[in-house]
Amino acid sequence: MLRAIWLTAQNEARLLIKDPIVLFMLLFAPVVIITVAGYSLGSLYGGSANSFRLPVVDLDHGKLADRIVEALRKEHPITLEMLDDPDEARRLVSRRDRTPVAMVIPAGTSAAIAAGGEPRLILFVDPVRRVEVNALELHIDELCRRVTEQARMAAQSQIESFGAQQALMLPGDLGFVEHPAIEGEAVTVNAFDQYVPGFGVTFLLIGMMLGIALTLFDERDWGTLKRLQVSGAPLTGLLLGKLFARFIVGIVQMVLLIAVGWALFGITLGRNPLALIIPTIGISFAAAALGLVVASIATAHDSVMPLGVTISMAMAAIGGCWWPLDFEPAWMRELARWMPTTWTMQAFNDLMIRHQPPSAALRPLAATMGIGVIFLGAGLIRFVSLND
Amino acid sequence: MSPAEAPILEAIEISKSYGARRALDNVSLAVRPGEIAGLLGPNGAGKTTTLSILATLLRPDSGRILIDGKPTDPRGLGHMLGLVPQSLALYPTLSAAQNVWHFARMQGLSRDEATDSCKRALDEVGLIERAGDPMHAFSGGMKRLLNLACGVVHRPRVLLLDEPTVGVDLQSREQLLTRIRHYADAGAAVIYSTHYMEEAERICDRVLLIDRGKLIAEGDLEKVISLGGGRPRIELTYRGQLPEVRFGRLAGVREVGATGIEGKATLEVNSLGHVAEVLQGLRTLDVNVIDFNLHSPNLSDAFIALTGHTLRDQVL
Repeated sequence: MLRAIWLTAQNEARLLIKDPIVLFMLLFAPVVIITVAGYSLGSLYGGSANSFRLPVVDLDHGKLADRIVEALRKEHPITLEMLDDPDEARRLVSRRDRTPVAMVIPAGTSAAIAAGGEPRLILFVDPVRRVEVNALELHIDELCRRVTEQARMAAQSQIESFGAQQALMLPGDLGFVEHPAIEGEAVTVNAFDQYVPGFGVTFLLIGMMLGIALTLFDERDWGTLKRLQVSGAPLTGLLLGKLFARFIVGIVQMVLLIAVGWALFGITLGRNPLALIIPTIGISFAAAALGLVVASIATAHDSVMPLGVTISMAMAAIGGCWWPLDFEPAWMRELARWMPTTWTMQAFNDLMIRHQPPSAALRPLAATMGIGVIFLGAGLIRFVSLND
Repeated sequence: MSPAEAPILEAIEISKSYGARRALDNVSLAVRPGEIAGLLGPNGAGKTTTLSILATLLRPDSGRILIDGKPTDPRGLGHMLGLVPQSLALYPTLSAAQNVWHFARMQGLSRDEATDSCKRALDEVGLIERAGDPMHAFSGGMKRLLNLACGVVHRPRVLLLDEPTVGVDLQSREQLLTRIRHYADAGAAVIYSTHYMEEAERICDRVLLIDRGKLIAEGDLEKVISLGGGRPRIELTYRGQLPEVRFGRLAGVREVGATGIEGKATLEVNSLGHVAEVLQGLRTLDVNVIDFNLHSPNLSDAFIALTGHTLRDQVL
């Protein structure tokens, strides 16, 4: 019995060492996902936070405004950018240019607080980047509390100096109020507005890669690919036919997921729900092309699954399908620019959450299609050279 | 239909190497309408490479392919070729009709033509009643028949069959061979690769014996069998003692494969016409023959004689 156990264990180890796919799944795949998640979510657990540019418009020009600006300058992760025009500040947020929040210190803020009022700073926020907005608002909230405290202490000492000879008032509380960066949009987001397209894209990628790569391996294993080639049909034509069918399936899959998200979770469909077809077309095309790449680099049927799942998950995570892209460190955001998922999620966020017109999705579509064309070219060249 | 003179498909001095290994070395062959040419050879001999080149799946390093006597771009041959590969080149989840219809359409048939051809092909192989059933529900023999139907649905002028009867029962094999003969009789030129010599003997009009990448024998069955140098054998069962010289006094007789079993002997004779004379000679030697079997040289004998006993898989 013991001998059988020992010999079986030895042989199992031998088989394991000789199977690169198992080793890949055991070691490489988790390392990829851990790396992406670790770098992306590190700041949530107290790691080094990203730095933010904070546009500030001072319309008050009073003492309180000076104190606010001075205090903001001392905040480590914040780089101040002083502007004169509130609309310009708003535009910076809507352009998503590393500025999830812009601040306007309204005219009369200093006077209002001195008069015991409760003036409010105006924060233009990007609802898609809610987590970053919240992080910045924590800083600003603390800053308001400190500034109010300082103003109160100054007023208190004045009262003590002058006694009750003058009718001095204690300053009121400084606070802030959120305004959407884009007129008409909400300042908060239904989480499903992020997760439905995000996980929809993730499963579209997984389904597409496994679907295309596995059916191509099946065709090869069954011998049907050879039989079709003998019919005189060019291999490129056969491949494009397969990709086209899967491309249509991908579009239907995504449309159904969005419809389910709308029906069950009340996700926002933006100004023009039909415009959501634009990023859907882009990601379906790129995912289909990537499926061909996986089919061309996988060495066997069994290697498709680990390869496809790892690539899909890494691409989805880096591209902002699971969390906002701005969680990620700069180098990963740079890498993300080369992923179709990044542009697709940008388009979905613009259309669904930021209520942008359909034209906002055209640039992401061009980028996604461009990446897809590169995948398609590489996949076709390699697959055809191996099988024709 | 007797084979016509002009070949449909000719391969002239085709060669193919995989790295340093020469898989085909200046092989020339031709196949005519109505003819079944058996492509025989040990494992690794070059049969699959030959079929792949003829099926346009591989490009030869050198040599030419002629169609109706004219050089042709192999890529344009699809419509006239039908391939029945050794592996079941079928979609398991599709029905028999869907499988055949898909390949018919891929061969360039219109919808109506494909529908008609699909019915005809399934009828010919006896699967019309099961046309709507998924392929994975079929028996091994039925799958082979469906595999054949997919290869012939477009009525190819040249039919390439790569061991189409592997793993099927006798009934299915019988039906397959009958159908293949039928296609040849209808005018198709058939190249039939097989390891079963009795199949080749039964349906092939001509044999192409290939070994180590070279065509080592070609011709009708009689010619190839004679090239093997085999002679008729008589397996004797006798009672009593043999003379001291055993069979040495009989002209044109050689004792072969002595088993050492008393009462049994195998004699090789010059020709079938010589057998009666030998049996008469045995009587004059007072050999008490109680039974005998006559074994004519066959394709298996010629195959072994021409290709040897070495296991090719080990050599390669």
